[in-house]
Amino acid sequence: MRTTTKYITIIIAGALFILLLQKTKMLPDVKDLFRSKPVLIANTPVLIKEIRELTQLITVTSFDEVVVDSVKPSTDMLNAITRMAINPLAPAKDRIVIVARGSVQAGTNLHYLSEADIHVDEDSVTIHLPQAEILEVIVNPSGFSTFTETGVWSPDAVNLVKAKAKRVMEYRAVQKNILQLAEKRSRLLMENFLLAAGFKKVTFN
Amino acid sequence: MRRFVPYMLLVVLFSCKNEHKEISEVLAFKEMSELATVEYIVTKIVKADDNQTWFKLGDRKILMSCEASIKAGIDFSVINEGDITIDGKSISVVLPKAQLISLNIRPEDVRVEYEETGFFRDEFSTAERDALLAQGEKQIKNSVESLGVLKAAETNASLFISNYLKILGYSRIHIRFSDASMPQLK
Repeated sequence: MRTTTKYITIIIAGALFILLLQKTKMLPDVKDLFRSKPVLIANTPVLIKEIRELTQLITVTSFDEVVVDSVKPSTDMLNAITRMAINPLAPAKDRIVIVARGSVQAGTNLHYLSEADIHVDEDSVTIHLPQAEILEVIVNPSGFSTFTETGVWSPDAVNLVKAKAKRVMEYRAVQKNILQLAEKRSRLLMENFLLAAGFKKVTFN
Repeated sequence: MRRFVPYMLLVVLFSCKNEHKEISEVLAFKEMSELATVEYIVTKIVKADDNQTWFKLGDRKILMSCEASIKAGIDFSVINEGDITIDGKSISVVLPKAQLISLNIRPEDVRVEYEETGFFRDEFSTAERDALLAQGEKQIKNSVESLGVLKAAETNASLFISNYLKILGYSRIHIRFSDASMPQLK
């Protein structure tokens, strides 16, 4: 009887000891043992390839999220044979669905603004601003998420789908009159600056 | 019969399925006023090894190269009358400090240079590649200060405003930058 009590005490003490170690994070959790470690990239240097001078007045940015997909005949032999055996009329297809979150920047490229576009007459100024344009469509890797990917998709094939997402984003922004809004705001900003610079009358043509 | 009418209505109501899918509109516009004055094209190698997990057998590594465009400039809207002093043909302007405007890693500028996967391992999926590139994106963003992007943006902004004011008829132009720091791109 005394031996049994001794064993039970040792087991309880051991269990309490393990519990204490786990609580104080000195012993890893059993769940953690079978958890995949995150894949981290090495800290490599960022190298400058080119430096360009810009004069872009960014006046409107649209933020958007679009879903794009692509389907192609399956190149995975096993998948193709299996599907063919099940239903010969519906061959296997590879599918990818990507959600892209990004922005479209519109504004005026002041690079096209020359001396001939500005006429000063005492305290009046007449300016011919270049037309507003889409300056950049930005969807970074952190903005892409793959909803589904079946079959084999090469990085180049995925890039085509991503390019499609950027085109859709730009199209949607243009449809919502981003260029008209950008032009209006470019004029407003220029006018404010010229008024602050001492001119009494600002005219755009 | 009348007693069954409410029950029948309930059955009809709950058996109806809405087939029309609502597509949420997330398109939102934001007014900006940034004068981008410099663009840096930078390159980075993204390399990763997935061999830290003890129960995964075999190697799995990837090496990608990417090109990014970093744009910086000044906020044009904060220049107001208080920042400009005019004395005849002389003008003095206080410009806001330069800030990071955008970072753009175009998908077409990303290349998988090398990939190695052991027999028991899967190849890197699109989602995994994007997750690794997102880490690279963060590292590029953190290096903006050390690359001198903001300094170059201020130099170019000063040059552009000077030329612009010269065209407008000012002969003596003095430009300096405000001490207040601008909010950075998140």
